[in-house]
Amino acid sequence: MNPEASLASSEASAPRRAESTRWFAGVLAHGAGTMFFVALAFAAGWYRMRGLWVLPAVAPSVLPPCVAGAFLLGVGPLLLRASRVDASTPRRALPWLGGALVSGAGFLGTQAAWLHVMFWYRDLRVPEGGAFASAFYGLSALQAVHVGLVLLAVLVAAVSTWRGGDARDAARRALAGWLFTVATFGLLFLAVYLP
Amino acid sequence: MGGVVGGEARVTPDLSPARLILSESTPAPQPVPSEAGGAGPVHQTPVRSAPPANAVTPRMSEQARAWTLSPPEGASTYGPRIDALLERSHVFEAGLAAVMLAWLVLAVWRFRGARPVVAANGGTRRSRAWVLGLAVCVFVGVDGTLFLGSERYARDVLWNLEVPANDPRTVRLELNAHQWSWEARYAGEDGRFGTPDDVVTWNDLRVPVGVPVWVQLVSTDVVHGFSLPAFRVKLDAIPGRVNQTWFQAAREGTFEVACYQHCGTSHYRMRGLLTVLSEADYARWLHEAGRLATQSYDADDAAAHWGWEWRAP
Amino acid sequence: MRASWVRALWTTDHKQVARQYLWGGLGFLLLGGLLALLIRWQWAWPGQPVPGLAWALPESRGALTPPTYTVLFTLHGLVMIFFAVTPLLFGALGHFVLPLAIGARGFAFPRLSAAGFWAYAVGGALVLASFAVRLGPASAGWTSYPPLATPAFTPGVGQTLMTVAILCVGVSAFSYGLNFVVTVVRCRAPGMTWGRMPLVVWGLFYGAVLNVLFVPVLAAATLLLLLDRVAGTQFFIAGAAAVGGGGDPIVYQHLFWLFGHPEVYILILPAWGMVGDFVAYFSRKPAHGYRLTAGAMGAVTAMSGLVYAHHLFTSGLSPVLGRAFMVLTLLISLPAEVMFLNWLMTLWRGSVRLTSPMLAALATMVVFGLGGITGLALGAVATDVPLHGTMWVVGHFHLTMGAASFLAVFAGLYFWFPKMYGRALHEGLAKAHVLASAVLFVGVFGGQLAAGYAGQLRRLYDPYQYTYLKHLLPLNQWTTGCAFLLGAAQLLFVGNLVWTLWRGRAAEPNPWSVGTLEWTCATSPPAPDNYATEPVVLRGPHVLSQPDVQQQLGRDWIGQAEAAVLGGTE
Ligand SMILES: [Cu+2]
Ligand SMILES: [Cu+2]
Repeated sequence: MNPEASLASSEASAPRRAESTRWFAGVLAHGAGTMFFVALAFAAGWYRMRGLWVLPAVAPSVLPPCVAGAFLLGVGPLLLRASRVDASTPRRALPWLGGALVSGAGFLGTQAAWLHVMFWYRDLRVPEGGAFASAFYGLSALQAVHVGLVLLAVLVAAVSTWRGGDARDAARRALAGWLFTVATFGLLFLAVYLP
Repeated sequence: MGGVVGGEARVTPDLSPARLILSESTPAPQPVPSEAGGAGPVHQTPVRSAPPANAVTPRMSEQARAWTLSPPEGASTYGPRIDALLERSHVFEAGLAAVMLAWLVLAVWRFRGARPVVAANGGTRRSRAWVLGLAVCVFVGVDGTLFLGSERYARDVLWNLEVPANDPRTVRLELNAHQWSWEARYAGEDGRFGTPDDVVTWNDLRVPVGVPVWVQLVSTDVVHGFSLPAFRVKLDAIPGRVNQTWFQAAREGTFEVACYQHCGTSHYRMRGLLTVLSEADYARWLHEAGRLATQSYDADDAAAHWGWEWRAP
Repeated sequence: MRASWVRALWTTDHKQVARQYLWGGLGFLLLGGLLALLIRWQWAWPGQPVPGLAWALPESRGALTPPTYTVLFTLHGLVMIFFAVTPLLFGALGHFVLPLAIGARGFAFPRLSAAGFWAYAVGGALVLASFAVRLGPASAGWTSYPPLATPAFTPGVGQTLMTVAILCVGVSAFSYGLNFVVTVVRCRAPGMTWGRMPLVVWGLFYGAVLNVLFVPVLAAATLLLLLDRVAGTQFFIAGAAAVGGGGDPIVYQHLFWLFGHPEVYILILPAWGMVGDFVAYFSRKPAHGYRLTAGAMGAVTAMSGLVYAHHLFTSGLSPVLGRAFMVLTLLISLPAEVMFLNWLMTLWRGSVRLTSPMLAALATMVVFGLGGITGLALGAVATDVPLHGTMWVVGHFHLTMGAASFLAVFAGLYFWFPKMYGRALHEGLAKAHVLASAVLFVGVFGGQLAAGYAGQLRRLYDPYQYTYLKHLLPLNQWTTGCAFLLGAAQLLFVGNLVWTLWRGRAAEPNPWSVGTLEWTCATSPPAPDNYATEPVVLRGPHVLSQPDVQQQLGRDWIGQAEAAVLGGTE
C-alpha cells in the first residue's frame, strides 16, 4: 500500500529489476515444489500412522542419508561465498562454485549408491515392498531431481563465469533453490528414513 | 465380485408384498427425546411405539410432496431432532436470502439512473462500520445457531456411541459393502462374532424396534456409502478401516438401504432393505437363522469368515 | 510461411494467448454442457433413447447404459472444472485483462504463458482422445477416488489418459498462477499501488496464489494414483475388509480435497473481483469499502486451505477434527458476508445502469448468494449427514462454481469483448442471454436442491430404483425442462458472437465510460506491447461521479492515468 515503494522500484535499473523478478519467481516455484513434496510426505506419514508401513527385513540404516545430508549442507555456504565475491573480480567465484558442484555431486552419489544397494542387495523392490518401498524410492528420486536442477543452475553459472561473465546473481538464485532442497531433504528424512 | 457365502445360512427375506410398500403406513407422532436436558444421556426410556396399522393421519399425495422441500419419511427415534434442526436453519437461511435479494432488487429499482450521492472514498467510516457490524450479526445469528444445534446433536446422538455401548439390549451389526451389495453379519444368540451361529444376510438387514443398533462398517473393494434415508444415517464404507455409527428405529416397517458413493457401473442398484421387527419377532428370527447357520457351518470356508472381533468405541 | 503459422500457434502475446484459451474454453464448455443435458435426460426419462444419439450408441439405439452414464457425469465434472471454467476465467479473461489492468506491457514470463496454454491443449487433446479408446473414457467420478480409480476396478486406458490430462492442466494452472503472482507483484506500472488495482486484479491475484500453493497438492495425489495405475505401486489399494492391506485410499481423499476446496475459491475469486468492479462502474460510484472487500477476499484465500475436511464429515473423521473443520468452515462465511454487503452498499444511492455486464454481475450476486446460503447446512457436521451425497450438494455447488462462475465469465466477456476484438456485441441479445441464463440456472439448481432435500442421491443411473424416490420423477422432469431451455438460451450468445465477429460494428473507445487503464490508455484491440507510453497511474479504478471531475471535465469519470489539473484524487 506504499506508493513510494513501487516508485522506488521503478527507479532501480531495468536489469536489477528483471533479476529480482527472476529471483522472486524462483522462490515461488521452489515453494510450490515444496508444497508438492509436503503433500507426498504427508501421504508417507499417514501410512506410517496407520501402521501400513511394512519395513523390509533389513531396515535401511540412517548412516548413508546422514552422510548425504552433510554433503548437501556443505553446498550452501559455498554458494553464499560465491555470491559474495567482489564485483571487480567475478572469476574469484569459480573455486567456490566448483566446490559447491563437488559437494552436490557427493550428495547425489551417496544417495544413488545407497538406493542401488537397497534395491539390488537388500531386495527392497517396487511394488513388492509395499507403500514403504514406493515412498522410499519415489520421494528420494524426486528430491534428487530437485537437487539436480539446482546443481544444473550452478553448473551454468560456473560455465558463464569461466567465460568471463558475472554469475553472482545466478549463485544467489541457486542459493534459494538449495534452501528448499535442504527443507525437502529434512522432510524426507523425518517421514521416510527415520526408523 | 459376488463373494461366497459358504457355510453360513443365507437367509432370504420373506418379502410379502405388503411389507414392500414403504410409505403406506403413516408414522404416529414420534416420542422425541427432550432436547432441553442437553448434557445428560439422551436415551433413557425405550421407545416402543409401533403405530397401529390403520392409523390414519391426513397425508399429502406422494406427487405433491416432491415440491414441498420435505425430507424422506422418517422412522428413526432421533430423526425428528435433526429434521427440526435442518428446518430451523433453513428458515433462517431463507430469511437471509430474502432480505439480501429484496435489498438488491430495491436498490436496482430505486436507484436506476438516479443522481448518485457520492462519498469521496466509496463510503464513510460509519457505513463501513455498519457493514462489518451487520456481517458479524448475521454470522452470529445464522451460523451461530446452526453451530450450536449441530454441536448438540453431534454430542448427544451422532458421536455418542455411549448410548449403544451402555444399553444391554443393543443389537450389534457388522456390515461389509461389496460391488454391489450389502453383506450383514449378526453375532447370533451367543453375542460373539466369528462363531458358527453368526447369521449372514445379503441386502437384508433386520433390526428390532426401539433398540439401539450399533453398526461397524467396512468395504471389500471400493469406497461405498452406507445410508439409511429414513433414519438420517450416512457413513462411508472404506476398505482397510472400520467405521461405526448407530441408530434406533421408532416404528416397524420396511425401509431402504442406499449406497451414496459412486462405486462403479451398478452403483444405482446397490440397494438393500431394512426391516424393523418387534422385539419378539426379531428374537424369533435370529434364533431360527442362527440354528440354520450352525447346521450348515463349514470351518474350511475361509471366504465366509470375514467378521471381526467387535471393536470398542 | 512456416514462420507465420508457428507464430500464430506459439504466441507470447498475452492477448493472443487469451484468445486461444477463450476458444478452447468455449469449446469445452459446449462439450461439458451437452454431457450435462444427457445426464438430465436420463433423470427425466431413464433408459429411454435420446433423440439423435443412435449414431453414437448403436447397441442401445441411443439409450444411455449404466457404463455410458458413469462416463457422462465423470467427464461433465472434469471437463467443466479443469477444461472450461478455470481456463475461461484465468486463461481467457485473466490472461487478457491482468497485464492491461496494471499497466504492464505483458506478463513477467511471456513464454511461460504460451507453454501453459499448450500444456492445457495437450490435456484437452488427451480427453478427446479418450473417447476413442477401448472401454471408453474415465468413469470413476470427477474426484477419481481410489480404489475405484485404480486399474483393479477401472481398467480402461481412458482413466489413465484422464489422469495424465489432469496433470497437464495442473502444469498449465501452475504456470499461469506463477506468472500472475509474479506479474502483479513485480510489473505494475508506476503509481499503480496495491490500493489502486481494480478488484478483478485482486481476485485473479488471490486465485493465482491458490493455484501456486494447491495445484502441487493435486499433482501429488494424481501422481500417486498414476503410479498405482501404470507402475504397480500400492498407495491406494487397500486389502479386503477389516484385514489391513498395502495402502489406504482415504489419504487420497485428504490430498484431493486439500486441493479441491481451494479450487472452489480459485473458480470464484475472479468472479468476486469482477462483481466488485462492475457494481461500482455501473452504479457510477466508488466501490464501497474497497479495502474491506480486498481484505475479505484475502481472508477467504488465507483460510481456504483450512476447511477442506467438511467434504469428509461422513468418512469416519474423528470428532476433534470434525468439530475443528466445522468451526473453520462456518467462519469462512463471515468475509463472504462482508463482501456481499459491500456490493449492496455500492449499489445503494448510486446511479444504476443495467448494461449487459452489470446484469451479469447482479445475476452472479444472486446465484452466488443462494449457493453460499445453501452451503451453510453442509458445513455443520449434524446437518451435513442427511444432505451429504445428495442432489442438495449438487445444487449448492453448481450455484456457486457453476452458475456464479459461468455468469461471471459472461460478465467479463461482455465487458471486455470490445477490447479483445475491437467490435461491439449486440447489447439486447447479451442482456436476453444473461437474464434467461440466470433465471434458468435458478430453476435447474433449485430443482436439484429440492430433489436433494427429499433425499435423492447423486450419480444414480436410475434414481427410481428406490421406492422412496419414485415420487420425484415429475420434479426431475421439470428440472430437466429448465436445463434444456438453459441449453437453448446459449444460442443467444452463439448467435451474438458469430454475428459480431462477422458483421459487428466497431467498438467505441470507452463504451462503459470507466477510468481503468485498458479503456483509457490502450487502443481496441490493444497494440502488441499494450501501451504507446508506459502509463503513470494517479488514482484508483473507481473514481466516478466526483464533483470536481465533473466540473472540470464535464463527464463523471476520469482515467486512472489521466493527468488532469486537479492532480491525484485518490
Ligand atoms: Cu456402493
Ligand atoms: Cu469444500
